[in-house]
Amino acid sequence: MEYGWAKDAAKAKNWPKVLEHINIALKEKPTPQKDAKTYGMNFVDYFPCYYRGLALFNLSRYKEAQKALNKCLEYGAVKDADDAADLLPKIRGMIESCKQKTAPPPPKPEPVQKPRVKKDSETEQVIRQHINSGNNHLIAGNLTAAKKDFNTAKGLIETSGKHPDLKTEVLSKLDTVTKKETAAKLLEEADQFIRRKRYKRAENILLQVIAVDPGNKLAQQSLRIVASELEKAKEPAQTKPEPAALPKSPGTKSGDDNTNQSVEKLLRAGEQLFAEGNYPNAREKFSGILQLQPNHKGARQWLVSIDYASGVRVLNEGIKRYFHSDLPGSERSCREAIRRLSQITANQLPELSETVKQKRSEALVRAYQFLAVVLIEKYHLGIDTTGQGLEEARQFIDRIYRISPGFTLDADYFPPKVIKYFTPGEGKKD
Amino acid sequence: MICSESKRRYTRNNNPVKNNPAKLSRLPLFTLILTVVAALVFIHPLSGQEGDREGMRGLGISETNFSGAVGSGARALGMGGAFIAVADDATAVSWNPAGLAQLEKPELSLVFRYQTYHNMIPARFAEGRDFFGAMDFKGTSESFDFASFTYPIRIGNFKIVPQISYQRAISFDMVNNEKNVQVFSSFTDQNVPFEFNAEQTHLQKLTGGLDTVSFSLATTLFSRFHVGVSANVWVNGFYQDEILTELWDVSNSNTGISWGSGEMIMNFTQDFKMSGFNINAGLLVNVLDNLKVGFVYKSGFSATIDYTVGFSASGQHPFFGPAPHREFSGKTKLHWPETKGIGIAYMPTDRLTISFDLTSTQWSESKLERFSSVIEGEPDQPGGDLYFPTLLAIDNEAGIKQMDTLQLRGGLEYIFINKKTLIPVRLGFFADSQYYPDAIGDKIMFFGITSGVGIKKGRLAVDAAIQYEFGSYIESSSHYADSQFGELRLYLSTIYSF
Repeated sequence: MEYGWAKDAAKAKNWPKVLEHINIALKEKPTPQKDAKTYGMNFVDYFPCYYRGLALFNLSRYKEAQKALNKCLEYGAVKDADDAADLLPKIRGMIESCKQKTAPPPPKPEPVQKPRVKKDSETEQVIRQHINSGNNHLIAGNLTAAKKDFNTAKGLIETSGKHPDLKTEVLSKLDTVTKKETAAKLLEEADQFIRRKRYKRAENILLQVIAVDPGNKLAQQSLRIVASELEKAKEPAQTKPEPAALPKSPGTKSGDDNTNQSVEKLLRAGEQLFAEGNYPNAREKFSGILQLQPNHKGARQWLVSIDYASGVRVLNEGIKRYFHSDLPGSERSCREAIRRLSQITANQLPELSETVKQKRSEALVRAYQFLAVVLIEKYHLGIDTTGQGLEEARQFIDRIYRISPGFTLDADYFPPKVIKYFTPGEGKKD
Repeated sequence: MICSESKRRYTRNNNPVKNNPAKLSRLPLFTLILTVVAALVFIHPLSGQEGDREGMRGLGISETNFSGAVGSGARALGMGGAFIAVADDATAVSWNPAGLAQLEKPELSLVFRYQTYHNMIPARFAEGRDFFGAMDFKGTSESFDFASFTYPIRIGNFKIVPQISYQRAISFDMVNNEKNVQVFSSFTDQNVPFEFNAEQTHLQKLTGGLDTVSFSLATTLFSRFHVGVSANVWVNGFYQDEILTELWDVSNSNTGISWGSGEMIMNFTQDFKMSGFNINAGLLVNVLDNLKVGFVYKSGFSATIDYTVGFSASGQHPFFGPAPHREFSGKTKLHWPETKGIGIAYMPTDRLTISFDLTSTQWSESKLERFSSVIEGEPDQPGGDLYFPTLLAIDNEAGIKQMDTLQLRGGLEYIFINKKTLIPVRLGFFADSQYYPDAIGDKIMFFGITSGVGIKKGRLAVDAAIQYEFGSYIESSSHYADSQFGELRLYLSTIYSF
């Protein structure tokens, strides 16, 4: 019945009514179907997503229209429709129109007179910051982060067209990073052969590592170990020694081989657990490293990353709960996300790259935003009768604008009663 | 990475049911409880009653023939008439007026019926020594069975569905033209055996029927409950003109010597006009998306009958004298029974529907008042009430009254779809207890099988159905041979959607 009314409204081009009836129809029967029975001997091709997309398109809500129409095409039933020959081109045409209308505007042409550029010293300062950060990562063995910093520095140098000395330094560092990456891969391979007692093969690979990275101490040490094993293999052996493992990873300052070995193991285990998303256990590993080596930068950086990643995960959960009308659950998740993201202290921030710092700020703003929205909605629904939640929401909004002065709330996704609180000066009139 | 699902419009408040499993599970449970309560209220046990009865030569029709107690439409009848919980086309008012609420577009429907019946009475003895020869009765009738116009109206998000319809509840359109040879053997007072032979030519024409003009209204409440009511005005009546010509002779059974012969012509006319009013009410519940339960109640009523009866006999006959034409008029009352029904319909797929109905009709309460005095020409005298026309020639010495009846119907419909052409096929059955017992007091059960097919293209749907009802019963308490009954009915319906 609702679907029929939606179609009638579409014929009359009453798009709000189409949406109203289609949303009810989707609640009753969400899946499209060719030849769906309505009553008696009446069957219709039931494609509610098409009419939803059509209505949204005509209401200029292009993003949502595009999503609805794409969903329509995903269902095979549309392609089997009797009027598929007419329907499919219409759907695809609307999708293309939506893409064009939602595409970012073309960049404005450069003005004839160039604007005032930064002073050379400012640029140089930024470049040096990236180089220093890259060096830190290089020492800590975080080659990916180091590469990123050096590439950023390189980009700034190329944009400015100056600082040839810095460019040389950056290129040299990038080269070093590349060599170390190659060396790390080869070392891993060598380690595998050593564990399988294929010392000759391991020796060849270690020689390649030294050719690429002559100063690689790990490779040198490993080579000595492999050589001794090969010597032993030539002698008649009474007992077989334990296969040697790679020595401690570089970057640690402790002279205790056992400690270094443990740290190395903990580091690898922690990295693996982080990659799997098992943040609590990863935190254990990195905290264990800090107990052995309190100044271990890599472990400190990983702990910061865990705080950030787990905070973002909880924040995503909170956002999902909000859109599923679970206000209490959303509030809990957003508060937990803020707690975790806020655990990254000011002392830890300098160890983060600019990118990670920026992402952390964005995540915090998002968490404040959704928590404020939840508290405002609770107030308007009468759940918060004292108004304390509303006051707290205002404080969060103030924090948002302190962190991000240019912040604007997306009007497409929140009701006007919430948006007004994010308008400076308006929300305080209640 | 920030959750991409944040990119949604603030319609989260429009989807409470989808995201609240507790609410969703409560709705069908409430519907189920209400359905069970309604079932307990509606259905009551059938009890047969026994008492005095007058037998009368009848019209060869069974209770299933009374579409006023059942319903109309080739689609429904092709499914065995199990339509109480389906009732989703313009014929719904005759099955369950609540079903009208399901219609979404204006519809016009027409139903035609053609039927032929055949009743064979074997030869039998009566009162020990009297012998009656076998008789074979056949008849046909055709009639316009049902017509309706439905126009659903939307007021905001609310829909009401009014309908105006006409239905032939009982059709009397029939022509009997048959010849029979009647043989009767007995003894005179002097104990001389004789044989009476008669060649009968029986021409019987009936026209008319009991019709209803109905005004119906249906609507949907809480999206799963459909309710409907119809107000039915009963009109029309029937006219019968019956001419029986009998060429007879009587002879000595031992010697074969004829004692006499002759011809008698009897003419019997009846003209009945009726007016009455009753209400039908229905409830249809979507217990689940593919399961519906329906209830219907058709109230009994008293109708006023204006009648004129005429009789004349001319010629000679050894058992009857000639009679001048007499005609008399008067008023009497017809008591029509109430009907209750419950049905269930299950749709495992959109194209397949399986349904069952159980209907009870209180025939024990129905009668035509003082009819015996009417036919005996004594309209002002108190006389025995006539219960409804029975099957032919039941000779009931026990004086058994009419009984309430129970009908079980079942059927299925499967729709083949080829592009936009729909081809439904239907099968069904019914078990129909009759409203009077046989000559030895046993309940008479007739059975029926049905089949139907149709085609729908665009706005027009045409359906055909064939229904064959059959059964046997003991016609005489002095002779236990079965009388055989069979009736074939053909229906043709058309529905046009605007």
